[in-house]
Amino acid sequence: MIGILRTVLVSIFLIGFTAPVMAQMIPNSGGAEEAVIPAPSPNDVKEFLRLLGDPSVQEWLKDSVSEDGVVETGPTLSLREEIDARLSRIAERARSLVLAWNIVPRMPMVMSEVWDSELSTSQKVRSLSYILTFLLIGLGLEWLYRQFMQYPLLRLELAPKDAPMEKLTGAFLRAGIIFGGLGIFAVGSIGAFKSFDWHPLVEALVLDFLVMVLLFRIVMTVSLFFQAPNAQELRLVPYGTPVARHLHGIARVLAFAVLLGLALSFMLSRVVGMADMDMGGSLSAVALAQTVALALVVVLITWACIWIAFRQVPQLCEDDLGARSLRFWRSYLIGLVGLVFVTWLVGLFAIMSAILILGLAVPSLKLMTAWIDHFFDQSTAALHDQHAAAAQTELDAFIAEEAAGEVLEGEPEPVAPEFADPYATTRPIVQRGARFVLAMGAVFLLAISWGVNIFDLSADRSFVGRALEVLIDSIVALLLADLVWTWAKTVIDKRVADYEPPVDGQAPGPEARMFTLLPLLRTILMVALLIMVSLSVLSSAGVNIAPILAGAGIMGIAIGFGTQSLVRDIVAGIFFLIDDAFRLGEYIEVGDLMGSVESISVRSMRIRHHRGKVHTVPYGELKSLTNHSRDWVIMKLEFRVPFDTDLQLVKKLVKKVGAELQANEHYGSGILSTLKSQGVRRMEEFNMVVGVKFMTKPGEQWLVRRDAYQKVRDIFDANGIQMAERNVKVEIAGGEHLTDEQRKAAAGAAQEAAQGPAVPPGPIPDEP
Amino acid sequence: MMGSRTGKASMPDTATASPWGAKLRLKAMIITGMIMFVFITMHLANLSLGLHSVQLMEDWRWALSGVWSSAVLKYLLQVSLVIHFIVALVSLYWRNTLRIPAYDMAQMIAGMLIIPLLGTHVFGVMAIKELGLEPTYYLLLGQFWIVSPFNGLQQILMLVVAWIHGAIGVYSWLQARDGSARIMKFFYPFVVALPILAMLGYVEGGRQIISVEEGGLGYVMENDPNEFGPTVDPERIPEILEQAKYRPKVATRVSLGLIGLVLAARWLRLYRRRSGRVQVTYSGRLPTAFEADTGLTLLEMVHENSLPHANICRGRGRCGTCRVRVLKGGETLPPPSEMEAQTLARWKAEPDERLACQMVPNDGALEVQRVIEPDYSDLDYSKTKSDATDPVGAS
Repeated sequence: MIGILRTVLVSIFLIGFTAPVMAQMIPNSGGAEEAVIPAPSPNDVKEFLRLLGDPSVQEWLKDSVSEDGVVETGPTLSLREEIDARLSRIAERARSLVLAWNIVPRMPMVMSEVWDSELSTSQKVRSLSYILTFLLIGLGLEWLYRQFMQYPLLRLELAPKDAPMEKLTGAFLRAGIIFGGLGIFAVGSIGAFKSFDWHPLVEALVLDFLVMVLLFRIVMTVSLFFQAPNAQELRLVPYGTPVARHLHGIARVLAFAVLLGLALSFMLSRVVGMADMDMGGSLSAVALAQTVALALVVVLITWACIWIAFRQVPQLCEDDLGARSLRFWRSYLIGLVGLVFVTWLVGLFAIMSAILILGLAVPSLKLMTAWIDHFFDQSTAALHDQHAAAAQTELDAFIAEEAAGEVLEGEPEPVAPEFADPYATTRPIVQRGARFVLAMGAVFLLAISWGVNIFDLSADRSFVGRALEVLIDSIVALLLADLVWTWAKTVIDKRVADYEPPVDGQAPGPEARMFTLLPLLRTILMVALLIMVSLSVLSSAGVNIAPILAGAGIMGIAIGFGTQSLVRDIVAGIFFLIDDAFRLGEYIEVGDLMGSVESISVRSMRIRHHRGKVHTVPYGELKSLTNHSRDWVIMKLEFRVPFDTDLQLVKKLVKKVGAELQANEHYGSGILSTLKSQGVRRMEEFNMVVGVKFMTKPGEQWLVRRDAYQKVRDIFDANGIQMAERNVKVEIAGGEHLTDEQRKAAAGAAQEAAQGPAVPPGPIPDEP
Repeated sequence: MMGSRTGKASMPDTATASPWGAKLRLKAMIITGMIMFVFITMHLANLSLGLHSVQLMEDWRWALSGVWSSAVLKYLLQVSLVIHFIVALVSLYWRNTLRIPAYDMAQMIAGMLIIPLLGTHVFGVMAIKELGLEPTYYLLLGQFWIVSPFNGLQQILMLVVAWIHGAIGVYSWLQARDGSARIMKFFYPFVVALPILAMLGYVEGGRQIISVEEGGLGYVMENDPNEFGPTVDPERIPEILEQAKYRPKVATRVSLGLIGLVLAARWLRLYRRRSGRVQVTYSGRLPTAFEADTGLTLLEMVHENSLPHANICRGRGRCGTCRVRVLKGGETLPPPSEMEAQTLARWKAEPDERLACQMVPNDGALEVQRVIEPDYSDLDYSKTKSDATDPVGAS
């Protein structure tokens, strides 16, 4: 599995790496063609300004602007006419290509003529001198900067890095330092050059070359950022030094060829453009021929690079790469380059850029996905290693202690906690985010290459503009919704998956309520996103969504009225859950109802009375809620003892019982503050009331109370403390003569009189 | 090539100059090199005045460039050039490997290029004097920018090449001295600023003269001493011009021929000396192992294998940053030379520490450990003796 991944990664990286360099082809092929159109000369500009100042021209301009301020364009072309125009343009292009082909033999002569007429020999050599001088100035300044950055850079490159995140930071820092140097180079070369006044043609030529050198170095720095051929610790791609060096070299050749071709074709078209004014004639054909020749050379070099890279890399890699996928991507890239060249040759520039951008977007997307996956795999693996190492040290320490005999009897061997991947939720989000950025980048490039202003699409009434607008709006809506949905789904799913149902007899943790809430939230979010996306896609496609919205609104109102209480229940439930008012398994009291929470649903909860009755309570009905299962419970007990009891002894005995309770193995740990005497709480007619109290965790109090009563009674008994009994002393005046029976009757009557008639006992207090 | 590898002196298996010979060579290199460096510095300072105006260049010419035409200084300069070149050839002969650090490589190549590039300029100025003209900047800039711009291009190359060669030499010499960190703060900006200003002065001066040539406004010299043309006998003019063309070619051929000969001799020496293999293991941080031909110093072996190693003075045995602790195989090593011992003593090194740049391992296995990490993260100058003697080789 890993082997396959690596294969794909390496091959894809290879392709993707050539991709950005190949992307430089666009301006080369397209740009060179455009550059054949000469830039307006200063005279032309002056003339244009003069015309603008002319009152008659101003008048005409005003007339041609209609009342609403839109310049009237000519009648729009019908489809047939447009196809006609396209075909005739291709035909014209073919004719000029034939012309260019015919002119090839005379080309060097024409060119040297033009060269000599435009620039004297000394000017040419001087241009070279200037290029050299300003390059050297830029390099000198950059060298100075690098001297001060030398040691930080060395430290970055050589310090061992374990986690990929460290690698990434290091690579970014290094790229930053190098880009700082490039900036200084740019200022030193281009900036210094621009601060002088030059002959315009010389200036343009020198600037072209200086900019190309800068671009070349930027491309190489980007390659360095990923591949780091000389600093293994900073390499972000999953292959070894030989492959990195090889691909870096290939990138250098490609970038050099493409940029040199670009610079040369710029230079030629500038010279020709200058000359066209005074000579005219076949010069544009010459320029075309040269551009085609240059482009052909660049395409051949690109093909060669692709071929060589695909031949060499599998040999340099230790493990076997998938031969089929390699072959496929090689043919794909070679075909793509060929196709781009052909479409450029016949002059279909819009189609060419579309092929190029979309053709590169596909492998780039795969490459990026694989790269991000690799990055996260590495991060997880590094963390896993750390985790395993920590567990191992702990185990080793335990074994050492055991050997030394320091371990208490029965202490369990430490068990390594299960490893949890902290990036499980981040990974899909990063993937989607990167995909989003890439897709948007491709669309932007496409829009730019088609000459459509992406920020002004609503004003563009052409078909391409409309189509792009709909496409962009829909893609943005879909991708954004996808991003939000992925994020929410991973987060929710992870929390739900992490939830552990409470073991029987234990109070559930706070996660329990989220377990209820999260699936609900997920569904709501999904529905909302779906509706929003479909509405925005519909509206961007031009469908009027107002009636849909109105209909939905009316439906919503109707349903809302009908299900008023249902909605109230759900909303109230959400807030009860957020308040953490109750959890599954807790003993609560709602109005007259009591019981432990058995299930929580969206609309209602179910509580079970300790005698088995099940109450279903909709949340909307809840006004206030008493929870008996939170944190702690205090229970107070009373004992009645005769007046002659030794209170000190009572206190001592209670304390003893308290200690016994605390030591109990079943519920001892549940006692937060054990049984203690509170002294005499009040005096009654015939006895004293001694109060005791204890504090336990919720749910434990019943058991403790039972034992407390029992133990106190036993210990009092053993220590000669009698529980007070109610006794009525009946004094009968002058009753010495009464028999025993008569006395008993009299005492009974007196007791009845004192106490009231005997009644049946009241209900037992309601306790589980 | 200045400040060459004097460590070869301690090599047991190569017949070489005695230690004092190496020291003398180094001294000669530094002294002659410094003389020429001062000359170049003054000459470039003069050029950089062109950034203001050609007139200012001209006004200062006698002080900054003219003094070197006086009999004594001219003679000194010529002798320095010859001695420097010959000693450099000798050093090249004793080099064991050409896989040397980038700076040394740049210095060496630049040194080889100087004479071919310099010829036209030097012999051109000589010819101008022989023609009875004054080598004013007005004349020379016109020559380089208008009459033969190709020569002008060559001058830029020569300026850079000569400056790189000299600056690296001075840099290597400075770096092993006490308080080099402080000196470097001034040396780095100086070494970049001067040639840049000189180039800009050269370009700007040229521009002022070119625009006159092209019919614009610019600089025209007043009281031009060359106003009336050559004062020499007109019959001799073609001969002098011919010589001015011929002499640089001869100089180029001679210098390149000598370099080629020395390289061939060096190759022969190394070919005869080829010997055993040594297995080197680096332990500690960044552990690595490799096999190499004997006869090289340990640092050269490391460079041949493209491995990182601290070495500030780049193998000259002065800085002591390439020290390694010999863990295994130390008994077969030749004892440290006088210079190595001094450097080690300065660092108060343990008895098992050696300089990688001076130690020539013999056949067999060697296990060492770096004392200073290749990224210099643990370099601490306070460990050196406070009463440090002058580093060896720094005169």
